[in-house]
Amino acid sequence: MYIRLRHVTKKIKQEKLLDDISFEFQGGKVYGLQGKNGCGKTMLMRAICGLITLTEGEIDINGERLHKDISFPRDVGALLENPSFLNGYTGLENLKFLADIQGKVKEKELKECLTKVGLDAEDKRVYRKYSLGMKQKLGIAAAVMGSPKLVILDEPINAIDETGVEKVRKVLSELKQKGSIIITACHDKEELMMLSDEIIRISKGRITV
Amino acid sequence: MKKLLKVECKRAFANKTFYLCFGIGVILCVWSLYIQLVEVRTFNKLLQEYGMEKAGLYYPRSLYNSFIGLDYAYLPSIILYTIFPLLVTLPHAVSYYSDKKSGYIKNILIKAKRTDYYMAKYISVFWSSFTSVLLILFFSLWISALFFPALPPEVTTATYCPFDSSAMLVELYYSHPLIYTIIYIFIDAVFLGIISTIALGISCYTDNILFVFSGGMILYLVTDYIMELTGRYEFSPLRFLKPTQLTCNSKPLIILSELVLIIIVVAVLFLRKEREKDVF
Repeated sequence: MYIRLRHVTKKIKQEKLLDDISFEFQGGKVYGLQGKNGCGKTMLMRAICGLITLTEGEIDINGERLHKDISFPRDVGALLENPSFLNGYTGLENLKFLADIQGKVKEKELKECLTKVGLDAEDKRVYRKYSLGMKQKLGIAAAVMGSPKLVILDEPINAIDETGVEKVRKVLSELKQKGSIIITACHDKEELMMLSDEIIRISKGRITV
Repeated sequence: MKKLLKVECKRAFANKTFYLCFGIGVILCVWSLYIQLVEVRTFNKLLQEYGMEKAGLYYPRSLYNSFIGLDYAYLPSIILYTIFPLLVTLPHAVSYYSDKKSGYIKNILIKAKRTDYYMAKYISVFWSSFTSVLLILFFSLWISALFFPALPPEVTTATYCPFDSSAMLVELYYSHPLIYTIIYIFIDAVFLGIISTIALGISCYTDNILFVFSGGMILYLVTDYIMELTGRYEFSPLRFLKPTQLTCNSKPLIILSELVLIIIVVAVLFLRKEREKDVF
């Protein structure tokens, strides 16, 4: 598994949000994106997910070009910015809705996934009644369900307590061992260092280190 | 596409707003029936007290002028046909706006092709609105049938609509009224289903949920107002969707043209332009 970015550029109203980024992500590694607010971390994640079109450059995922051969990476799980789910459904029901789109993940696996991130699969509370931390955990569960080959997590430990953070680390470590590419961004530098195998510093839409 | 459509339909039909839409429709249908039953009871009392000579000759009420679509006199019917575009927006039409606004759309677009998502959304919005119109109107037909006999419409009594010989399907109404009613219910369901998709087109260009929710209704009422000013009632959906065809005779070509026009406009705005946009 690899993702190759070649001269990736995204301009909105003449402002370069991503500026000539070239990089290669390899499977079995956790990449930590570091940079100030608005430097382009989330935009880069959106670009890899296929949610935005590029002004210039290309993204190659396992030999397939994004927006040409595929419209989104074949096996991706992502939590971008704030988690967002259907308010009137429980965590498990929400995961089922998403899993049903591709029909790859079974209910048993979804329950296991919820337990792994520290949520109760039998919890009858609807998403609306979840605390911030629980919402965040559900977001992570949705991103990692079915052990995707590419996992993108933007600020995954926001609002999560220490025990929860420990569980997230464990989940990411398991995915890494399975050969997934994990791209994450976190404002807590220490936590990012701890989670990542490689740190990518971004400034004004460019990779600086 | 099939899986996504199934998920979208599940969302639409499991939604509380779908039941709210049906509930409002049911209240209006029951209210309409109640008014008519009271009227019948009052008339029967007069008939008992004064006899047929003083109370007048009377052709009994029938299913075919008490069903809410064929009732031309009472308020519930007027309210239902006025707010129908708003009602059919309730089940699922605002969901695209909500998906976009909350960011839920990102969860879907990393799992499904854009074309599939937009197509599934369009079909599910149409389908949920189409179904809710069918449920409401068939419910009215059913409860009316429980209380009123299916007497054939009698044009000379002047209590049945449509009565104009150039009205659409008028011969069918007087020869096979049930078939006419069912066909008209389906015309209403298809047209209102398509009207509900206007909310999808509006969602692409506004950040205001009220406008998304009421856009179809505003268009419906503004069209009626303009057509009333110009005297071209037959172009107003508010008029031609009513099976009574009371203020104008419906023209199949006009109904079909307006249907196609809405489909094309929404398809260009939603299915073509919107799916090419970046999702943030």
